[in-house]
Amino acid sequence: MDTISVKDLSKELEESISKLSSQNGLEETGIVTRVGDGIAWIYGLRSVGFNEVITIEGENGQTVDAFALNLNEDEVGAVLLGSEASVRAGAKVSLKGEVLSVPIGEEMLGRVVDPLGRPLDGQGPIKAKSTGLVERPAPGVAARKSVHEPLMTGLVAIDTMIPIGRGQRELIIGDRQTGKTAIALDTMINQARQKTGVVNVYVAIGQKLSKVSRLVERLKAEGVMDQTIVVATGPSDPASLLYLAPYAGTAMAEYFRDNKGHALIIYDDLTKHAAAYRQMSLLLRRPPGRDAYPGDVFYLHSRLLERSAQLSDDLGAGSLTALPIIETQAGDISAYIPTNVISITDGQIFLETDLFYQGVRPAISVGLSVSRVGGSAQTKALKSVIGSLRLSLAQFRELAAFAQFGTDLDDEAKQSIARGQRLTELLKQPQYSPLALWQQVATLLAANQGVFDKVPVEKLKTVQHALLAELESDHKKEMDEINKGAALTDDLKKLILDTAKKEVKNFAGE
Amino acid sequence: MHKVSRRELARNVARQLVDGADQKKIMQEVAAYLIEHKMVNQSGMLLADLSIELQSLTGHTTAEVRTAFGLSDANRKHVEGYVREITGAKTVELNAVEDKSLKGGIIVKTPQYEYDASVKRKLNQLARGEA
Repeated sequence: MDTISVKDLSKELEESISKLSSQNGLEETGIVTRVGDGIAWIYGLRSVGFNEVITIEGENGQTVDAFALNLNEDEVGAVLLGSEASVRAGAKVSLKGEVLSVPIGEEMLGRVVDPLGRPLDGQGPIKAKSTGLVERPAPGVAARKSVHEPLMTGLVAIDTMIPIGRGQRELIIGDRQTGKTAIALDTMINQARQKTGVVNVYVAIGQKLSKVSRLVERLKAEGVMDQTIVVATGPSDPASLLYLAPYAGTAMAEYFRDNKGHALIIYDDLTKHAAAYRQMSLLLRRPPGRDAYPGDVFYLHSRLLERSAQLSDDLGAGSLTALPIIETQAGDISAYIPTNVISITDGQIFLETDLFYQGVRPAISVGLSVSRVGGSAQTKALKSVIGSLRLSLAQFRELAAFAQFGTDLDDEAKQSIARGQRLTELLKQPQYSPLALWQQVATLLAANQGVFDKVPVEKLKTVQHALLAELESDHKKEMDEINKGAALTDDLKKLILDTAKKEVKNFAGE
Repeated sequence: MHKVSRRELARNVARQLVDGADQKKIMQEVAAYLIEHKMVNQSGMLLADLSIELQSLTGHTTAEVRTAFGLSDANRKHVEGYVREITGAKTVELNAVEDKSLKGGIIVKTPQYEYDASVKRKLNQLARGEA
C-alpha cells in the first residue's frame, strides 16, 4: 500500500470543503433502533416515501438494502432485502433516492433471476439497458381493449371448454399434487411449439429450488427457455423477496406488453405470496384480520393482477396474460385467499384430487371451472367443432353417477354414457404433449360426429394418434390451413371425417 | 396521562422553551414523562427531535463536523454557510471533531442530514465496487 501523505490528505479536505456548495453526497440519514426477523426499525428519515429503498450500513463497510413499508411519526419500519446478520442497532441509514426497480428488456430472456433482477443461473451479469418499477399502476380503462385473441394452452380440455384469451387472468386452483404447475408448464411449452411469439415469465414464489431447477431443465430441453424469464425464490429466502417476486416478474413482463409484444406470466403460487405478506405485516405490527392476514391482502393481489391486460391499438395492442396459481387445502375453494383471487380473476381452472388419481389428467373439474372472457377469443375453427361438449360431459357425469346404482338405462342414456366415456378419454393428455389447433379440431370433430363411438375406450388413444399421424403426413397443407383459426369448411370437415372413419375401420380390421 | 408521539412531545417542549419557560423545570417534566411511559431509551432521539423543532422555531441549528486533521477558520466559515444552505437555518453552531479514522475528507452532520465526503467512505465504496 502507498504511504499516506498528509499533504495529499489536506488537499483532499480542501477539495471536499470547496465542493460543499453542491448537493451531491448530501443524504438524509437515520439510525437503526431495532432489528429482527428481517425488519429494521429506523429513527430519522422524515422524508422517506412508501416503498422507497434505503441503505443500511453494516459491518466492515458492507451495506444492506431495505424498503420502507411502515411510515409512522416516530419511526420507520423497513423490510430488509438481504441478511440481517450484518445489521446492528445504531447503524447509519440513508435514503437511496429511488423506489424499487428491476432490470427489464430482451436481455432478460433465457435468464433465471431473483426478484431484484440479480442472476441466479451463473451465466454472468445481465446487461439490461433499462429498468422497470416493481410497483406500477395498472393500465386505465382507456388504455385497454377487450380480450379478443386466443392464448392456446395446447390442452384440449382447456382450449375447448375454458378458453383463455390474451390479456386474461385465469386462475389455476387445486390441492397439492393435482397438476397445477404442469398446466402452466404445458402452456409455456405450447407457446414455443406453436411459435406464437408469446414470452413466458415464470415466477416461483417460495418453491423448492429443486423443483425450479427441474422446471428450468425441462424448459431448456423443450427449447422454451430462450423465450422465458424465470424469477425464482426459495423457501429459505427472506419473506421480503417472496413478497416482491410477483411484482418484479410483472415489471419484466410489462416490458413486452408495452412494446407491442405478448407475454404470459405464471405466479406459482399466490398462496405462498399471501403467507409471506402476512408474515411481513405481522412483524411490522399491522393489525391482523381474518386468518391473521392484514386488511389489505385483497389489494395485494388485485393491484398485481390488474396489471395484466390487453392494451388498446393506440398503445400497440400488446398483452399480458396471467395464470396465477392457488393451492387449496382439501379442495376448499371457499377459503379466504382462494375466494379473493377467484373474484379478481376472469375465471378459474379447478383441479380435483379425485380426478387426478382416477387418471383423468389434466384433472379439470368441468363443473367448477369457468372462463369469463375467453369465449370471445376462441378460434372459429374450435368453436365450429366443440358443439355441446361441456353439456355432453355434464350429462355423462350425471348419468354415470346414476348408472352406478345398477339401474336399467334406455338406449339414449347408454349412448350418452358411451360418448361421455370417449370424450373423457380424449380429453386426457400426458404432460409435455400440448396439441396444435388442427389436432384438437380433428379429434373433437371425429368424436362429436360419433366416429369413435364403436372404438373401445382403452383403444381410443391409439386410434386418435393414428388419425393425427395420417392427417399430418398426408394432408399437412390442409391442417396448416386449420391452424390459421378460420371456421372449418365442409371440404375440410369431410376430409377429417373420412380419414377418421378409415382409421377406425383399419383398427377394427386388425 | 395520554401518550403522545415523541415528535409531538419534542414540538411541545420546543415551543415552551422558545416562549421562555423555565428550562430546568421543563426538562424535569420531560424526564418524568419518559419514565412514566417507559421511553427513557428514547431520550437521545427525543433530543435530536428537539433540535430539529428548535431549528424550525428559532432558525438556529447545530452541526457536527468531522475531519481527520482539524478545521481552519476559513473552512469553518465555508462549512457554516453550507449548513445554513441545506437546513435553512439563520445561525449555526458548529462542533468540530478530529477523527483520524476518516483518513481524509470531511463529514458534516446535522440533526436530519449528513454530507459524507470522507476518504473512508470512498474506500468502502471502492471495496463494494460502487465507485
